[in-house]
Amino acid sequence: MKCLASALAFASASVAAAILLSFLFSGLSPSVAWSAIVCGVLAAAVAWRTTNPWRQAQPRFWDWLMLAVFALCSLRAFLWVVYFRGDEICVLSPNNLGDLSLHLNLIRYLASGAAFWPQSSILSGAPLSYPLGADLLNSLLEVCGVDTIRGLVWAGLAGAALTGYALWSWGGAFGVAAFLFNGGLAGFAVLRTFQIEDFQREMVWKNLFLSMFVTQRGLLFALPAGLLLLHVWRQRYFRGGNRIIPLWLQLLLYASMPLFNVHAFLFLSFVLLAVFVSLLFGKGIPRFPTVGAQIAATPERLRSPAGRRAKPIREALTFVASAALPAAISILLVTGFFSVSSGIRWSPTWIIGGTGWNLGMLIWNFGLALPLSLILVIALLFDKDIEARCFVWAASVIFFAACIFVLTPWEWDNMKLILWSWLVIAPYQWKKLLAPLKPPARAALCVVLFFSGAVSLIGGLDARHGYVVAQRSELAAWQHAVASIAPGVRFAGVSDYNHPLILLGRKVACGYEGHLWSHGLDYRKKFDLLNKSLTGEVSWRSSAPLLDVEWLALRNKDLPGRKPPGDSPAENAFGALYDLRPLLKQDPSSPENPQLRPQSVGLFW
Amino acid sequence: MTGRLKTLPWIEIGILTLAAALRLVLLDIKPPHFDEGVNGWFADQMTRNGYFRYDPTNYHGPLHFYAVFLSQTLFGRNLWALRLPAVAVSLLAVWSMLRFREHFGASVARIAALAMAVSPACVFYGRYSIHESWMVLFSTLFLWGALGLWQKGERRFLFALFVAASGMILTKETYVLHIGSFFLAGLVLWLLQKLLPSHPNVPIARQQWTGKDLATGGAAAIFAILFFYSGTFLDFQALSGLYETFAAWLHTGIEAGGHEKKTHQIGPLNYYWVALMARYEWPALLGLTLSLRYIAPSDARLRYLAIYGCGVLVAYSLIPYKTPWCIISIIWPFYLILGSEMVAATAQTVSRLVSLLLRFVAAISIATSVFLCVRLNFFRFTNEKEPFVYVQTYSEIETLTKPLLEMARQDPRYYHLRGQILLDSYYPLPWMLGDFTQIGYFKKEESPESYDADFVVAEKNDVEKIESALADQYYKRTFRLRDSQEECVVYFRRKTFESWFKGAPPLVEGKP
Repeated sequence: MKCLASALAFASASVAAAILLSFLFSGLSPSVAWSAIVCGVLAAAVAWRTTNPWRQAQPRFWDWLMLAVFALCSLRAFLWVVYFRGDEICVLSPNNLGDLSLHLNLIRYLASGAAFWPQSSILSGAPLSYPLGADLLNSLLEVCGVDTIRGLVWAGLAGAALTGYALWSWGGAFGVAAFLFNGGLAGFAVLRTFQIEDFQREMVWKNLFLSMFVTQRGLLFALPAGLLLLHVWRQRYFRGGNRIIPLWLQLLLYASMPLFNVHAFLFLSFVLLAVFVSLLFGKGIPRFPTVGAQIAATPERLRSPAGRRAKPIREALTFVASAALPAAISILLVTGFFSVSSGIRWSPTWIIGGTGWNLGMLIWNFGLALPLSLILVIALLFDKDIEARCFVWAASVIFFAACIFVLTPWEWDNMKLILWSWLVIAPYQWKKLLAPLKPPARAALCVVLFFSGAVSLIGGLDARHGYVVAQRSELAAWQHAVASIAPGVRFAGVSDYNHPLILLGRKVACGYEGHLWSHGLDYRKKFDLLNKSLTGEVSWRSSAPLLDVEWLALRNKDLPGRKPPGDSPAENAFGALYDLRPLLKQDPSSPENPQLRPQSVGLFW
Repeated sequence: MTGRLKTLPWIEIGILTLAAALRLVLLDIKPPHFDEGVNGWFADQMTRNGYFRYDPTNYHGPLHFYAVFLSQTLFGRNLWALRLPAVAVSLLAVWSMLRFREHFGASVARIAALAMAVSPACVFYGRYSIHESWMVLFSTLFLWGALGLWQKGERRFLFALFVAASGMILTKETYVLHIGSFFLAGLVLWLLQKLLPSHPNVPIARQQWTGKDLATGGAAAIFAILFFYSGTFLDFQALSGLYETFAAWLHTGIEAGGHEKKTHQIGPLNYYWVALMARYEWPALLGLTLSLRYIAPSDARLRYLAIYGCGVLVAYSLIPYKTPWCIISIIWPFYLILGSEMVAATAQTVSRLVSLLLRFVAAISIATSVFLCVRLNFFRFTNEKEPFVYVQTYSEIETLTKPLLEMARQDPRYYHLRGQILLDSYYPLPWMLGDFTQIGYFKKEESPESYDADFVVAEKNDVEKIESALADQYYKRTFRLRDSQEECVVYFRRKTFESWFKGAPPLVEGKP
């Protein structure tokens, strides 16, 4: 527990310090990065000293087995998270093609010393609006001399180790299995095809490990930190334990959570509310006849020193009050000062693909997890276990809300909330429903619950041949070509997720449309303007100032769909750069439209 | 000193620190050895293919390749990362010698560990990214487990035995020699005791482990073997290599392929290993000499150890194929013998004169080890006159690699230079230049379609052929890759490397 608390304190404090120092000193520099890391190390040292020793039950066979499987899967996923195969840069998981490109962009962009709060690197004229915590941590490593890819591997493995331990602390072997093998019934197709693959890839309830854990870098912090907080709150408020980690660390983890994952922050906030409500109205508190009377009696309870729960209630209130301001600042930052559109809307059928309510489809997706959760929710009406009610009902409310309301433009992003609901409910499913059963029935239910997910996981990790993100030679050529151009300069180019300039951490007018849309950015006008400029419908002289670009980067493969504003790139080159600055200096009323000379981008031999 | 500091095992910490210093300081001082290049290349293939494909004709187990892969992925493709796993394992072997305090007492374990810590062989090959240190670690662990089961019968020793056995199987096909020797030593001891009973005769302790423990340990060991040999379950066909390897090994072991040491043959006896001990490993030689005394009635455990040590020495002597790094798998039991004798001498079971003499000789032998170790590892590490320096790449290889690696570090486009390497034996170049994407390797009987490349490497014999085919201006440099290999020539294209050679005139004018 000390290791977990210290490592999370390090990550959280380093990132918070890096943001603060970058504001003060206009971006990351080696001295800022080292200072931030020193802050992280100090926080980790204090966390180590102030975390109470926590005696977890001794792991038994199933615990060891699940932890070993988790370790092997994590090693497989993160040792090959991105790797070289000759001239190719590959990723193991197809889910990571777009996501990893964006992370590479952010890491290198922040490491290049972008002034804080940074502009968006994928949309001109907009502030950065993304939970940048995990990428900023990698940027710190990069500035301190760690290779980008190696930094990704380190962070992945460290995050996985912390997650594995936190999952086990929260939910035991069943909790780890629930995360690794979530799934519905699709994977049973293997009994027909005898071909192991990720059968859940096209479904809403995809394998969480493959679709979220490997791709969402923020989860590498958010999962262990969130699970640790849940574990700490459970022990403190329901099991009468001492504080496992000190209050300042809880505050740090909670308030910095939006910097890593906003959905996790929302979920934890709701659970915190549920904990507060449970403390107020739970067992052991004098009963009041109506809800109104109960609420009216709240101040009295808080004042009452005799109330058994008065201290925890006050503690919870203090916690929320102290966290409110820093958490609000974190949210303000990662939403680009509330510049992104939230996209909240009523969409009661998105979870089954928008085809109207279809129970069969729902069961096909979620398998036994859904009926078991429903049974648990109902069973808790008759079970006076306040702790289980608090966590299960809160998680169920969020699950239900996430099924009928969509929070972001891309509806599947709701899975970032559903993931938490599942992780919170799963251990109680085991404790209340499965554990009391006889072993054969328990085993049968576990097989039905986890078989499909296990098949998907094996299939997803066995992508032996990888997926190509980019060519190293092409990237090297572009890196050399833009080396003399200041890092703050924005480029115009085709909006591909793996455009070399994006992978090199450069600012572009418009990045990949999937990212722009799913991040809730107001991009449409600029995107259209860029495309019209690229096809020659609009002159660069008029569009470049609006897009805030100084250079145009065209690849040979972009032709002939896009029209160069001068000579075409040489045939044996990867592409060319066009300096648009002379156009910007030109008199706008001048009818001349000069032809620009391309600066070839290639290997010089 | 505070109470807590006082309780720390300072002598053990000192020995381990000394061992670490000798193994880690200037770890990248010598260029990669031929075998290190091969091992690094296998690890690179794991990155490319996503799993390790076990090849029984390579007849080395997969464990070291996984460790190198992990190290390279975490720390990059460099000599430190390549060698760190072997260094760590070599240090663990010293630590495992210290663990023998449970069986023979602290002083014996310390002397043995010190001898291993400063051993020229253990340090020299511990600084090589090869499999041998793993075998030392697992065989010491096996002995520790076996002695523990014999004397105490506890469960932890059973598990140690399983870890050691599976580790040996995952390391190298020579595990059959070691495990076979452990069993034969037991048999020989049993027979010997019939003739000359041991004194003290240590009885076999009451078993304190259960059938469940046996099943758990066995299952975990089998799982580990299957997991690694099957390429993490991605290549089940490779499992047949577990037995197919012995055919290849037997063939190579007998054929020897130039690795037989005929100069050390007297009739049927080959004294190569003893000669190496005499040159570098005096503590081990002393231990070997002293082990003869265990023929006479003596401690049963030490008799077993002496029989095992001599058995392994005889087995390795009988195999025609001999590479000097195998010595570290042979000598370590003699360190324990030496330690036991030293302690016995201190306990004055022998006359004072003999005791003093023995201690003096032991001290001299260990001091000599330190001297030889430092001289070999930090000064003469590529000197072919040192028998331990075997198929070692010369530092001259930098004539080829330095311009390439330095230029690529400054400008990543250089990683995509076109290069042609026309050598019959070109390792460790494929590992050293593993980040370069357009290099072709050609054996003697093969040749590229054209010599239009940014750099060309060939043997000096082929100079005329190459120069007549070059179609540009090239800088020409010569170097030697290793002992017993023809001098090599490298041609660097002028327009690509002009900035490196800083305007030096090109020496070869191609025929456009």
